[in-house]
Amino acid sequence: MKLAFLNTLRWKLSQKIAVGTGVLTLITVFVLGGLSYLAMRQQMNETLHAEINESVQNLAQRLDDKLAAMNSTLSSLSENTLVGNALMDSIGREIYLRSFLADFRQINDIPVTVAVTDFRGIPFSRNNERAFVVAREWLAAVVDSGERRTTIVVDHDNCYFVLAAPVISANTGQPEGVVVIQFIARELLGSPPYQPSSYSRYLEDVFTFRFIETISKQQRTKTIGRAKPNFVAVSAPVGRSGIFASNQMEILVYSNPENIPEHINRLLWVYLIAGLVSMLILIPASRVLANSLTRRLRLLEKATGGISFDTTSHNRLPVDGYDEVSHLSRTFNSMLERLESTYVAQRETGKHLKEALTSTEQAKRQAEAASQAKTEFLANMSHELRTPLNAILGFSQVLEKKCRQCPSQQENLGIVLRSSEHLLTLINNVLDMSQIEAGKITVENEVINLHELLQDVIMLIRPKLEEKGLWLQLEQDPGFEHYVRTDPGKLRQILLNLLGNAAKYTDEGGIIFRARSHEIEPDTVHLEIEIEDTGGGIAEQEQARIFEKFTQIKRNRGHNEGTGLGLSISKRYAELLGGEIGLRSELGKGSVFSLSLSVSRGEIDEVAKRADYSRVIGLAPGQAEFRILIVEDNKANRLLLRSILERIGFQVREAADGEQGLKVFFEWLPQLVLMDIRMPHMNGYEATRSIKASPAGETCKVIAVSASVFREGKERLFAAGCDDFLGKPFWESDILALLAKHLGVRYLYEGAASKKQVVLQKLEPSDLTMLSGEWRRRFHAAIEQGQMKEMESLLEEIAPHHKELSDQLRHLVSRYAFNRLLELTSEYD
Amino acid sequence: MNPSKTLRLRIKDAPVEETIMLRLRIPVIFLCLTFFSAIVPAQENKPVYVGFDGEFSLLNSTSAQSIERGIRIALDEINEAGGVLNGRPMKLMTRDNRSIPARGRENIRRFAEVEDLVAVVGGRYSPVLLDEIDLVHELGIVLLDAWGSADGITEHDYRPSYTFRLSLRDRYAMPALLRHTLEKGARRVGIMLPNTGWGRSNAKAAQRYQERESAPKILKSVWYHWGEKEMLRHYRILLSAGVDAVILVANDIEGSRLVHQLAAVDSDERLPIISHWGVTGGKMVEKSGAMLHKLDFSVVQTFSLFTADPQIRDRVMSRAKRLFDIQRIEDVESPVGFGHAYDLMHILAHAVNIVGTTNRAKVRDALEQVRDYQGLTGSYPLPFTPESHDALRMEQVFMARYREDGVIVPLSLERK
Repeated sequence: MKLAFLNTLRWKLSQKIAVGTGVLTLITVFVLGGLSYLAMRQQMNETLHAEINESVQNLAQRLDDKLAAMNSTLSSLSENTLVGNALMDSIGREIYLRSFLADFRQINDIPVTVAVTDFRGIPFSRNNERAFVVAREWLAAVVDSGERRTTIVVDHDNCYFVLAAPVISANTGQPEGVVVIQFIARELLGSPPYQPSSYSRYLEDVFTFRFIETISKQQRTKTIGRAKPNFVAVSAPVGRSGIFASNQMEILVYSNPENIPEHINRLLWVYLIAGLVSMLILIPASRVLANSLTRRLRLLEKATGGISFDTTSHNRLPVDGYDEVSHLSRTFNSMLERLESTYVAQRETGKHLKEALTSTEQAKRQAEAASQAKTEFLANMSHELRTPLNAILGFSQVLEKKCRQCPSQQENLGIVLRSSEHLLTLINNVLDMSQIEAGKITVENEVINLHELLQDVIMLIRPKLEEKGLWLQLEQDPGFEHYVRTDPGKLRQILLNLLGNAAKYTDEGGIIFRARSHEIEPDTVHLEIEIEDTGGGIAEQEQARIFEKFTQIKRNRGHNEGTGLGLSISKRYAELLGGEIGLRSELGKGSVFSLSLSVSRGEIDEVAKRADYSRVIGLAPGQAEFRILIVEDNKANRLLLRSILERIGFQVREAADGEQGLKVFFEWLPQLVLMDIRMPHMNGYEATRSIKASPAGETCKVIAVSASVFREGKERLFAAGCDDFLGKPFWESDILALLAKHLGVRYLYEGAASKKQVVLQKLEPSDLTMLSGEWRRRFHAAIEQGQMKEMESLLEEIAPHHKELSDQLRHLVSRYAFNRLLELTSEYD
Repeated sequence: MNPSKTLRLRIKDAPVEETIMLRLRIPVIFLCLTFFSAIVPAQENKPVYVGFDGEFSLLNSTSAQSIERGIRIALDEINEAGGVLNGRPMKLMTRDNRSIPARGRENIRRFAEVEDLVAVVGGRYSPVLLDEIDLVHELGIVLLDAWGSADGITEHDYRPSYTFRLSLRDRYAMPALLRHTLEKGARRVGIMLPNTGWGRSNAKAAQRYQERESAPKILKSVWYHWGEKEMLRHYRILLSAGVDAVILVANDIEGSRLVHQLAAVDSDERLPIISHWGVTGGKMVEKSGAMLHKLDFSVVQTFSLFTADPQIRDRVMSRAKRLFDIQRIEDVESPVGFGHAYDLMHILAHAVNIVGTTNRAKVRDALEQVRDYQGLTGSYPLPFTPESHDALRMEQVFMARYREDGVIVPLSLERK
């Protein structure tokens, strides 16, 4: 089916989907509703007909029985010699016949009029004074016919059955009179006429008898009840035997056709309402769904539009999910990547060409040598500076963990930690600047909690302010955005720099820290952060220079601290984040530095999920022992690593250089090696290569530990066979995360220790490596053959040593997840 | 006048003559009409009608036919002698009441509509006659009873009375029957009665007679319904009551049924049966079978051709031979009806002639003025008086029995 007309509508895709879904739902509900309505109606009619038929058959049967009783009474009366005698005894009968007939007031509980007439149909004796509804002529005709007759007569709104049997005179053998039984037909039907059932209410209280009047030989119909309805439900023969046979009597009953659909029509309303309600729900629901799909399409559209204007921009599309849009985004990103690299390469080539053209060969060689020297210097510098700093940071963390019970010291330690961090930051600043110069800086993009970030920054700056006796006032707008997507390190750096400067150049008063945000697009917010100080201010002519690197202007009494890189880095960073730093200042009246930045909005659940390894207090029970070898030439760092790992519960051995490390490795066969790269005698590269070359090293993981931050180094590490990389300085949580990643270590966390660990983690085939190959083979075979007992006994076998694993496998067995179990065991088959 | 033309006219004029009857009697009527048309001037021969309401179609019944013959023979004589009212012929109309009172009443109504119909003769069945009494007085039409014996037929409160009887009455019959039981040596009597007006009339008569010291003791009365099939059941009741004789008040159907059923009874339990005369109204002998002659069965009668005035009897028999091919007196069935009807017609003709009109009230009056009638059944100096509409006297009642050949013969003749 072509829905081309949809394309002509000037609607958004999401609107089309929403309206289309709604309309289709409505049509579906109506069509299904209509069909089931018709089916129900048909079914109802059939059931009704069957039920009515049964009711009527019952009714007819009862009528038959009652009529048969009437008939037999009539027979016995007409053959009674007393009645015969009465024909002869006109005087005597006045006494005995009257009292005789008086006994027949009711037959089968039906009040009857019983009378005996002479041959002309004139009654000479009767049991009551009720009028006769049949003509004398009819009775006389019964006498003449000499046979029993039945008729139905309507008289004064009542319908009567009249049964007449001739009385045969014994002396003449001829009929000389007639015994008449007359009763109201309604009495024959009973009350109620139908057996009460859920369907009998559809039957009208109207009945028609159709019969052949045997005297006149004419077909007659007589109706009991109000006006005859149009709809004949069903008819049934009545009085199929005895004197009624020749009457060919039938009873017709009626049902009210209006009553029946009323019942079902309610269904129609239910369908109608259900249809409308589902449409009302589905249109907005599908709108929301469609929006979530088209949002990414819009981004794609936007990104595509952006290419032509800014090829170097970092407008990579977020790739989340596995649907077609995600694939498209991925493809788009890689295309962009290629485009960009081509562009950069071109520019690079152009630049080199230009350089080659404008400088002499000597100059070129010098420049190259200087560049090489600078890189070497920076690499060494970073190593030399970071290694001791690593020890400070590391032991501060160890101390913090050990002194959880003494809060005052913890605070101090916190200050040590943060200051060390800041020191690290300063070092990093120098390195960062050089990287910025080299154009080697990358921008992270993750969702952060802005509020927390501000608090962190304030926490870091507060000691400095307190020291100088300055106040800090945070004026955070109530609607200040909570979660945004940006580079947290750089933002933090910018704010710390600005606040640090404010603190540095203010001697009295304090700092106002303003933060507000407003939405500029549905998913984009503009952040406006101002840091106002009560310092001396900056002269107008100085304001332009202030952001240049290695520039420190003379302010007030002339501060001479810092690298003079802070504002320069901040400005560059702000630009990298897509924002800018502004300055309003007047000499003597303080300065206002402002950061304005457009960022995309984030959600709380997008905040980068990092396992909270800071709360780790030990190893989860039920795991095999983990053997970890530390190869590190710096004793302090070795000690630091050892203390961290032993506290958690790992088995640790250490070695001071590569040679020693290999010796210990082959002796002890650890599952993981933490390998320092720069070591005397044998460096980390060589040692790693040796380990990986050996059979025992195949399953062993090697993690390089190095202060080198250059990417070139990392690549070399992986080439040597390292499985991962731990940068110096490292945080305890970084190490724990790596161990979890490579060894599948499970930890006990603070607060969770008291609770029994019941959460079953998802098993991986590698989790079973701790079990023997023989056991896995037997278990696999048992699953294939469905031998539950064998599986049970195998699980019992491992339970004492690997309780948790055994429990998890048992859980899978109990749920018959055999496919999953085969998967887990087959990989190692 | 062309006789055949006259015949056609007569048939046309006869308003209610039953067609079947008429067809059967065409030869007779033809003869009569031929005769009248020859001797009576045409303007004077408008007939004077008499009706007969009889039990013609009753099974095995001979009474209605016998009465009709008696009437016809009498009318034949009267008309031969010049008719009534200066030459007007008397003519008979019959209607069948099948012994059903309702039909009798219907017949009376029809007869009453006939112009110049002076009287209706009633048949054997007392219930029919009893049921007609109200009607005949209402309509003012004379009812002549030729057989029915219930006392109520003439004993009623209507004055003037329109009912006249020349027949037995239970007041006479029951004493005769009871007296006869004494002759049989029976002192304890059982009586069987039909549950009708006739039965009750006899019961009353019997009760009345019980007041006499000489009367036999009536130990038990049993009542049976008309058309009763099990007559023996009632007989056994009497038997077990210890009666010596049984008085049977019945017509031929029930009577013959009882006799027939008595074959099943031991001979020593067959008591003398003294029967009212209803049994003689039909084919009693044929239906009773051989058993009748093994029983001591006697029946009350009022008239027998065997003992009738020979002169009148011969005159009547010669006409019976001519009209109905009846050769012998033994061949006359139900003779009492025959004789009574014959005499009633002559008395009626006298009365009509006395009053000189067909006015029914006047004919009624005249019937009480008829004097010195010498009839077949006896001589009646004053057949009817204002006090008594019963012509027959008690002395005329006698007992008879069925002879081997089925002829009813007075016991007095038997003894000779």
